[in-house]
Amino acid sequence: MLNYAFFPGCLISRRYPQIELATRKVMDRFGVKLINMNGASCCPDPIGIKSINSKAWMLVSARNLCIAEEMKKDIMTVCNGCFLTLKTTNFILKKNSALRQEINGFLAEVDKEFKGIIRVKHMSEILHKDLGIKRIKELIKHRLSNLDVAVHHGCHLVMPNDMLAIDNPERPYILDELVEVTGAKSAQYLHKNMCCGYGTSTNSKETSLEITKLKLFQMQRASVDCITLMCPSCFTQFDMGQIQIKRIFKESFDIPVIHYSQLLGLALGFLPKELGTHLNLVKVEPVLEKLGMLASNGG
Amino acid sequence: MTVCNQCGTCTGSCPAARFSDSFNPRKIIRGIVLGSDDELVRGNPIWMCTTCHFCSERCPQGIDVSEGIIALRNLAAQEGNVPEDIKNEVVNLLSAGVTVLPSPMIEKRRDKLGLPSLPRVDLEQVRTLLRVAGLDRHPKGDK
Repeated sequence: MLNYAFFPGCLISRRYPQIELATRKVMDRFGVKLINMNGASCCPDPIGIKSINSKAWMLVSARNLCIAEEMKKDIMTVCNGCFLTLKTTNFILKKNSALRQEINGFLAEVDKEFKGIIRVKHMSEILHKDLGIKRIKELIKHRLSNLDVAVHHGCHLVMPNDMLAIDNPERPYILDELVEVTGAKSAQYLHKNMCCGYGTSTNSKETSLEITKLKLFQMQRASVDCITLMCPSCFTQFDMGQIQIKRIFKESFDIPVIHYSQLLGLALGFLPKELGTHLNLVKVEPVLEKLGMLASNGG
Repeated sequence: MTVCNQCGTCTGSCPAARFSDSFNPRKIIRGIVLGSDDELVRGNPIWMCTTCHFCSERCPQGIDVSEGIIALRNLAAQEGNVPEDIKNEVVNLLSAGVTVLPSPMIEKRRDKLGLPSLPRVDLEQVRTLLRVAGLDRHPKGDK
């Protein structure tokens, strides 16, 4: 049986519990056991914290990796940001022995030692590679036919590619295949692999939303029913972002944003409420209606 | 950085540069090569980068533009040139070991959804590591 040290990250566990809920439900359905990492902290944030002090960023990340090493488990992340932080530091520290020695000198202060014995995996990689499309297909109960989905893979699922190495950064396909196995269609749209804009929101909310707006405009032109993604930062940018765009730019898109764990959950036969889709800000009812799942929503 | 031939692939790939007149990764690399780091470190444009990493991925000369900007930001932080939201993230990390603070509303929501309570963060260990890396000396990070 597959089991992983589960690293939900700050945003998912403390702002989007519905994503954690759907993730746990879906992985449980596949018999994947997720084990809590006691004592773990923020990954930390590869944009904010790394920008302030790269050394502190690497040290705190290394400590989180040590916790998984003590559990003798590979890590599963859902968040692209946590994936970027944990996988790149794991990669660098495994490769660079001089740096590893230096970092271990500091980690000794908290009785930790980085050994380099575990791997960091993203949920999409576990679904696509470890479980496989065939296995997922076997468990699909409710095909999401006629649903056109805008896949947004999120930059830090694929870049820097030399270290993350799970998909093609110029033409990612893992998440598209994961969408299509549910019976839905992954729509083509312009600027598909462009950033969501979240990364610059701490500095300029307006510029970040301009980027989001460009993507939403292209998704709308492609007449998609909803957006799906894995990263909670991208989720924020598209879901809460649409509310902010309405307020700041007076433009409405009303494209529901459904986290991939929720989308897969629907196809696996869970009720919308069991996946917390009612907590997403842009109303998902049009999607549920199209899928004939509204009656079973139950509020 | 000195191998940069100013082709502009980075800027052409940059989502922030598309909407910001002040941000241009090609010019930032030029600035570093010409030694105007001080000016870059004092300004706001380096904080416009979304860190999407396309510039680094596509640079024909193999320059890691994105990491270069991170290095400039590290220097800027030492001078106190940091956006307010990121300062708050540092404060949260120092005070709780997480960058998004738990709230009673979310804890209640987790409970209602049947999720386990949030795992304990070993704050002392995190603080020790931030201290040895010098992050506790950051302005507004002392709280």
